[in-house]
Formats: sequence, C-alpha cells, structure tokens
Amino acid sequence: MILIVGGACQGKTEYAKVHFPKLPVWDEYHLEVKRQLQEQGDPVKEAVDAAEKYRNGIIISNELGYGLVPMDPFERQYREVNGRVNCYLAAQADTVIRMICGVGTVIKGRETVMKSAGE
Amino acid sequence: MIILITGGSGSGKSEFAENFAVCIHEKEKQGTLFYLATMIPRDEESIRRIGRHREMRKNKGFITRECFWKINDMAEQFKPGDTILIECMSNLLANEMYETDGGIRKRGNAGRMQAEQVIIEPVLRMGQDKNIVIVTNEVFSDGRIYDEETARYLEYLGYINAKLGQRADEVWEVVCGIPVKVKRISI
Repeated sequence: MILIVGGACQGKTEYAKVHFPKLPVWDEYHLEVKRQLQEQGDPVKEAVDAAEKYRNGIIISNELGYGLVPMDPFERQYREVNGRVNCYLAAQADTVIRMICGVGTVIKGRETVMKSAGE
Repeated sequence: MIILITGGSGSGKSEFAENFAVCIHEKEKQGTLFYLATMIPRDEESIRRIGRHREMRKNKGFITRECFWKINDMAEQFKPGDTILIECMSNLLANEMYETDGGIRKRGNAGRMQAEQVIIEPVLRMGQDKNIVIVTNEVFSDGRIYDEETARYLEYLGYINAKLGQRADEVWEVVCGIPVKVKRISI
C-alpha cells in the first residue's frame, strides 16, 4: 500500500494521478475517520480493513494535527484519532509520501517501490 | 547533548522520543533515565492522557518526576551522564504562562526574556553535561487568527522551539510515526 499524507490542498490527489494512474485510490480517508467517529465506530480498528483492502492501492489522508488543541471536544478527538490512524496506515504501508507545496517526499520505502507500483 | 523532537497531534512523537531516550541511556552506560512529566491532572481528559503515557512507558525504565514549572529548580537533582526526557514543552510553557506566579507573565520582548530565563537557559545548561530529549509540538499551521493572549503563547512556543532547535545536536519531526530528520550535527 502507498500512503500519501499532507495538509489540505498540497497536491496529494494530483500526485497520485500523475505517479500511479493505474492504482485504485481511497481519497480523503480522514473524512472516513470523521464519519466513523460520528457513528461511534472505532477508526483504528476500521483502518485494519482499509489497509488490507487497499494493500495494492493508495490511501490518501490529510494531516490535521498541526494547530492548537481545539476547544470543541469532538474536533479534539477527531484530530488525535486521525493522527493515530495515519500512524497505523503508515506502519502498514510499503511507501509513505508526504506532500508539501506540491512536492512529494518519500519518508518511508524507496523510489524503486514507487516506480514498480506505477508501472 | 540536546535532542529536540517535534510533530503534530497524534503523530507518534512521544513514543519515538521515549525510545530515543532509552537508546541514549543504554549507550551512555551510566547515569539515570528520567521522565519529566509536565501535564497537570485537572480533569478526566488530562488524567486519561496521563494514563495513556504511563502505560506506554511503563517497561522502559524511566524514573518519573513531575515538573509542572520552574524546571531550573529540578536541575540540581540530576547528575552528569543522566538522560532526561522532557514531555512536553507545550505544556511546560502553558503552565509557566497560566498556572504559576512569576513564570512568564510579561508581554512582548520582556516576556521573551522571561522565557529565556525560565525555560531556555536552564534547559541549555542541563544539556552541557546531560542528555536532554525534549518533546515539543507543531501548533502553528491551522491558519486561524487567535486572540492576543493565545497569539502570545504561539509566539513564545515558536521562539523556544527555534532557540532550542538552533542549539540542539539533533532535531526530528515525527510524521505519522515516521521520524523525519530536520537536523543532525555529526561529530
């Protein structure tokens, strides 16, 4: 699995389209985490299935934890749990790419893994 | 030696910092491994949070000392060769600004000077003959405009992070549990 993370609007989806046009993509996975929390689910457990289902694909998720601790309890929980889910997905991933300003940096795995996945 | 470890909420920075401190302590072959806990147990959420951290470090050999403020007052009890994990700078600063008398109360440059005296200088001094691992927090990127008091907190935390980062031997950012090197001085 390839995990692409980064803040909002950093070019994550575009990067996936350009580099891995043939792989299935689960975009905006953080919204899935939010939905699960709203429905009293356990996003960390759900992530096990997602990682398995997309083991030959791409999961894209936003990083949300780079601001002050929100006053709203749900926002606080969402932000924290989303971070834990991303940690789990990153641990399962063969490759993790982090996007900033449209530039992707491979922070786990090798470029060669990416190339063979893209072909 | 000073190691600065930063990251967002839920990024896995604490676990990385704990393991890093354990590694340094084992290599050092002397001294004691300390954990400076800065979170004040005030409500259910903070108690749960403290419990999670205790659980995470329980078999790693840390001796825990509570340090809500005045880190300089604790410095005497540490010896050269000790390894000390400070968890975390964002709590320590908030406590100094909002919880204790005399901490960091002034504004602007005068407040920065207080941050120097109360936090930055004691930590740098300890780092001269001890191994200091500091956990801090990236809280600067939510794009919101905050009230004056909160803006002051952000300013001082950014200032402390920058000062410590400049003097640190290593700076790491933990992203989704993956340590990303920001700076490393090789000797």
